[in-house]
Amino acid sequence: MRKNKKTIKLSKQCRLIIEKDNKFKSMGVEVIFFGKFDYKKITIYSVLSRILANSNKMYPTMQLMNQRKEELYDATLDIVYKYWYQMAVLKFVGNFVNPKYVTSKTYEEDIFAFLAETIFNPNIQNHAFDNDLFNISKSYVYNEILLQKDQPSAYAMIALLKLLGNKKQAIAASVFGDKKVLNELTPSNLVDYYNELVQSPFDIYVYGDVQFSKIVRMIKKYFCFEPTRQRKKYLPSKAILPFQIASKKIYKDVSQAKLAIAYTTGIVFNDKNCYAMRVLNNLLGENQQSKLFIELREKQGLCYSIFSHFDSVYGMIYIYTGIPMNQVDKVIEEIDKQIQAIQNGEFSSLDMDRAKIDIISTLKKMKDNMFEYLNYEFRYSLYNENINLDEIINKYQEVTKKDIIHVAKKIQYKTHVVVTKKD
Amino acid sequence: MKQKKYKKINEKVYTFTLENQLKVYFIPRKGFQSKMAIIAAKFGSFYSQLNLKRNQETIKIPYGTAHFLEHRMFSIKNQDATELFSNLGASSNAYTSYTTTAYYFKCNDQFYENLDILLSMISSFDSSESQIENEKQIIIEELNMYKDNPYTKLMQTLYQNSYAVHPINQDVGGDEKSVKSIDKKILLACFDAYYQPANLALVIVGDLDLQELKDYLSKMTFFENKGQHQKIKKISFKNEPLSILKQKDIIQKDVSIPMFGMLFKLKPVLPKKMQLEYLKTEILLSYFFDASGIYTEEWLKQKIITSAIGYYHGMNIDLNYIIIYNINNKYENAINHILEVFDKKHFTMTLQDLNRIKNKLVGSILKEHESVEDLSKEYLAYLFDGMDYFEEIDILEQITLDDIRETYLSISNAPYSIAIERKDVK
Repeated sequence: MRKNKKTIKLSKQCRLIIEKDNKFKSMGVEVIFFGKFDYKKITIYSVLSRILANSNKMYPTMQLMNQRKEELYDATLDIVYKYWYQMAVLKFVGNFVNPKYVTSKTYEEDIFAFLAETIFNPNIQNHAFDNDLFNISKSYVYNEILLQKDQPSAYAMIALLKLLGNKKQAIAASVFGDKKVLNELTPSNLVDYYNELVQSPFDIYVYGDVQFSKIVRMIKKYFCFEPTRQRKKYLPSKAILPFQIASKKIYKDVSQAKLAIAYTTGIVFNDKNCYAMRVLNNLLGENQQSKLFIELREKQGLCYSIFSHFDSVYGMIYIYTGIPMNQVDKVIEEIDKQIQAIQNGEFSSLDMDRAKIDIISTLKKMKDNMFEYLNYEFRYSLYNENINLDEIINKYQEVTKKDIIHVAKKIQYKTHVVVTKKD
Repeated sequence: MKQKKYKKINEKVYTFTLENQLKVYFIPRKGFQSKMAIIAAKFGSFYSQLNLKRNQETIKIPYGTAHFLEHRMFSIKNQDATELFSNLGASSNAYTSYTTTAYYFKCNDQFYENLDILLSMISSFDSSESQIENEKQIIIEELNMYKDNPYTKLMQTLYQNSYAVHPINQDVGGDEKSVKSIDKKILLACFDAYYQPANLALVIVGDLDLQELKDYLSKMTFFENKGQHQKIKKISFKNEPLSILKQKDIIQKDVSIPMFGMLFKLKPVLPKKMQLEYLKTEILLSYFFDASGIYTEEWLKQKIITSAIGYYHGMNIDLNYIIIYNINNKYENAINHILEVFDKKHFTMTLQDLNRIKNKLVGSILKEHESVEDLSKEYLAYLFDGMDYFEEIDILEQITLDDIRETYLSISNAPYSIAIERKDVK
């Protein structure tokens, strides 16, 4: 185990992971509750997270709670529901200033007390959340559901994912929630969901310029809580099947067409071919010299930006771009040609090395952003793997051209969405 | 070389002025893997419509030229600088603002090899006519992409309805017509005039050895072939009237919920006062409209608003304004409430409020220092506006309640323009 990292078992169901890094001027704390993906919880937790982030027993109104965050030197608290196939978590992500920079001697104690109060002592009275704050939170979520259509590029991607499963499956569910689920929520039934949440097993990650003993003492003081629910294993990935499905055209008053395409690969996070697939994705459309960027933007001037993204939860590659409305068919054809070229081995060692360097460089930089690093570490932990950046880098370095051609042959077109203007 | 220390925030900056007049700023970042260099020219979209002299010819700069030049500066003698950076594991990019065009790379290793590429591309213009032609469609697609963003369209409308003379009423990238009118002659004229070392600044951030950096800079030969520096004319837009052009505008846009924006046109301030002015406004608007603000929760309860109010303070050469915006079906009611806040009678801030908001700003400023990329860009932006980014907390501490009251009254007295985006405009 590295000297700057400690993992401590807080109870049967909960762990504390502390990583010391004295270069930061702030400290990151993540409290992560584990559970099974539930479609309804996207909406439910969206409302709940707004209520919890804006009130607790000690600071029962939005104004008082947020004034307290200001007193604590811009203490930020984001609460997010993340899910990967059957696995899901609700994360409380706190970012606080490094106590070295503040005059208050009790600052560290104050922030852990505040965080614990927010999670474990919400403003519930007579088995209901405050009605006003409930309605405010509900209206925020309602607006977000409506507004997802207003950013056409993002909307093309949301619509593409929707085609890939039924709306209750994690891959296809809108991250903004569902109006029907929202309408069924009440200040009282939300308390039941909250109670279920805090009985779930959790881990706490603390990252920054910290003293181990002090953090352990404070976590034990404020987070000494034994959940009743057992820690269970849920599948965090499953490959989407390769059969084609009908594409979709959406009409909207736009200045350029937004195109989003999905391909299956059959390769997911813990597959040994995943490293080769990430290198492939990088050279196809992730790095600044990718085949798609060079061919479609630099040579043909068809777009300003084009990207591909490898989704290792479902083994999918998504490509998205904004293009002139009369060029959609041509662009789809060109993208297909670039994929075929990789399948035929038409890429140089320089292309491959550049892709590897780009990925490795990103990995090396990861520890400059504590939350990015924590996310990465957490993804590996879902597969019971400890993160070892050197080993991961080695695996990327070992990828050969043959490996890339092998995984390229697994890529199959699934479907696409075009957001465009009516003729 | 000069060294400036900022004890309270544990920062220091080394400044070098090279023989060719290029200024270099180095901010050490011990323990960070990322190293970044950003070089910028004092040349942005506000320089459009000026006349430049080149080879006895007078050339008028079309709108969008600074942005176009940014797109074409990545050519180095038939090679693509982006590719050269990528080969060395660096990521690179550029951006154009109203007064600046900046180019940067970020890497872990081979910093000086990457710096060679950056300085090489910024010290010569190597694009061919066909490359310039090809770039036009790419830029037009970029402009189309921004047009589809409801927020961008709303802001552009507010600028056009508020400013008669000031070039903020034009998009940084120009429009399709102006982009098509740009050619090699125009780009070269701008390059010659504005990409002189004296008009550039280089900011370096990362865990680098100071001596190695000094050695590199002492041997650096880029810009040697640059001819005699032309004197660069300062731009100013003092003839912009204080009044606005149009009080209210309703725009057709395919949006699910109407969005409105209100631009309050304020008197411009001197560059050295901008940092103070920015912080004062931030404190005031936070006091009113943040989640901790005195109106937000109450207005949400009363359904005057159904989502957070956003605000933005813009300052630049002869320019000072704030924009308040919100997404709202009952926008007329919300607009009236906001106008009432600025009726000169609603300033109730206490010293306790002020100190609390100052605490918040100290925290957010310290957090900003953690990202090598954000720090490099922010330091440069402040530098070009004649300010010191690391003095922000000192300036903040000096702000009094009277200062905030003064800002409140200046907003209350300012002319304003309103724009509303909705989908069913008759």
